[in-house]
Amino acid sequence: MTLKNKVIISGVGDGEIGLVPDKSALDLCADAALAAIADAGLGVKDIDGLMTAYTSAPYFVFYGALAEYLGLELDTGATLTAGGGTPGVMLRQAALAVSAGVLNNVLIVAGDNRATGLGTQNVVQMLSAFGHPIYEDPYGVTIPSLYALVAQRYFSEYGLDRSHLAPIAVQSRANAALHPNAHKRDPLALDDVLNARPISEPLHLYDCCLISDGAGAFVVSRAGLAADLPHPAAWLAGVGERFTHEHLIAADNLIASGAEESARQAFAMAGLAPHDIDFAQLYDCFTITPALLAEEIGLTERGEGWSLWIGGQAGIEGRFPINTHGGMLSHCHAGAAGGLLNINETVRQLRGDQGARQVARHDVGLSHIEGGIMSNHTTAIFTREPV
Amino acid sequence: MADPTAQFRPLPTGQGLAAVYLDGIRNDRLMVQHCGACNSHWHYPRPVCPGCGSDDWDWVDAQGSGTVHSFTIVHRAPVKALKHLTPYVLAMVDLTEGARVTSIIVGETALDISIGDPVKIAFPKGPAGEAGMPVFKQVTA
Repeated sequence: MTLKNKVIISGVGDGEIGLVPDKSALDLCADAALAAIADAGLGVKDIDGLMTAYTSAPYFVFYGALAEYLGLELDTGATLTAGGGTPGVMLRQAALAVSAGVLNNVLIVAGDNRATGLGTQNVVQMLSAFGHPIYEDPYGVTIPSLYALVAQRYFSEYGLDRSHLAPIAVQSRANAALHPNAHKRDPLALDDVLNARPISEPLHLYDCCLISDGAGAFVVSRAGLAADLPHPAAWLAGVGERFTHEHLIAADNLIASGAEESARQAFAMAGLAPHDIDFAQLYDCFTITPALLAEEIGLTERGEGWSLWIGGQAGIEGRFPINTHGGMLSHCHAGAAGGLLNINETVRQLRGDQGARQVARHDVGLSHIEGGIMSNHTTAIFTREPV
Repeated sequence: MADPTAQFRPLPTGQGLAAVYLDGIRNDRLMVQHCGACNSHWHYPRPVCPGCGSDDWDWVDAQGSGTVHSFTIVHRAPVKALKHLTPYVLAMVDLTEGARVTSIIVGETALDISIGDPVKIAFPKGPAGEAGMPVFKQVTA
């Protein structure tokens, strides 16, 4: 079944981002949700579906708590858990429901107050139960250590080292500096990245994404709504999803994941090829991640994904802008909000009104979101006009 | 690095297939599954072959030899209880039989490990003689 040209993102909204000690996870999500609904020119009673990601908020059913708080009346709702990939999964599920005519306007929300609500040590400890509880966690695995295993294998396969990934951290910060709400906007030099303390070698401090407070939301609507919106719609041209494993111990190949297949599906649905993409937001929990995703998606040959960041090519004015908001390395990572804000940025760039951060060519944008350790993947291609 | 003999990781509890595997470890055996349909071996224990989906499988004892598929030197421990063990070497090992396991590399030269290095399993025991998670050591010529 094709979803091409049947579904739009009608509105996007962000909660406060960075260190927000005076807001709960629920309030951050509520702010983002209301902003997205207003951005779509809708009211809360126009929303008929709600999907939220998991949070650390003390509500047994988070979507229900949020819906109740906002006065939503829903035909369906759910809180989904697919790791950082949750926003991609929610996007595709909502698109399926909307394109089938079952729902009209589905609100998608992700956010958390992990930085000030939980604190770094508690977040690290919480995420230590991220590996397999019997076969991985007892050794003392961390999320950085699992991605470090991926990075080390990648380096070995292609004769690379951490200096090849460092420009990704530098460029992300430079892009974030142009975003008014990015968590980290102070300059980051190549030497800062290279000289940072090791977290899990070969990954050092600036190879790792932020722990932020923040939230984002968007509204998935029927294409028929496009003419009535206050802002230009972002059209869903293609979307694909692929799950291959949950724990790294069960991955067939550390450096070839389901991203290739999710991207293949998305390009096939859209009738587009990688060279048609003007800019991309690639999930960047660690610097290794977008490098690997770039080549799996087909933006480069295998082993060359990192080369897209050489010499500022991935900057706003570069040949191929990537993570134009600064990504999770510099803009925000709060629970599952990182991937959601990736989609919001693609929508905003397509609209073409981002000022100093606006990319020149903005007809076709790609968002790739993954969860776990390259475990689940969603590739979404959005266009400014139906294709 | 911290004393390599101190890199002890208590064995967790498990049920079902995990209990069988953990009992094997307590008896210094690394048990993997072997598929009667496609002839592959796998770790960790699961009810069907992850390659072909067959449930026609048997437990077999792996030799415990393999090569390093990848590794990382962990400097930031996930929990305070492990902090004193940093830096430690987390690794994935390709067993001779073909299954891949996650473990740690221990020994004086652990921090100098490279991908492709041959390694051999060891079954550490705690202070009261209790079994710990299996570990791997470099094989020196």
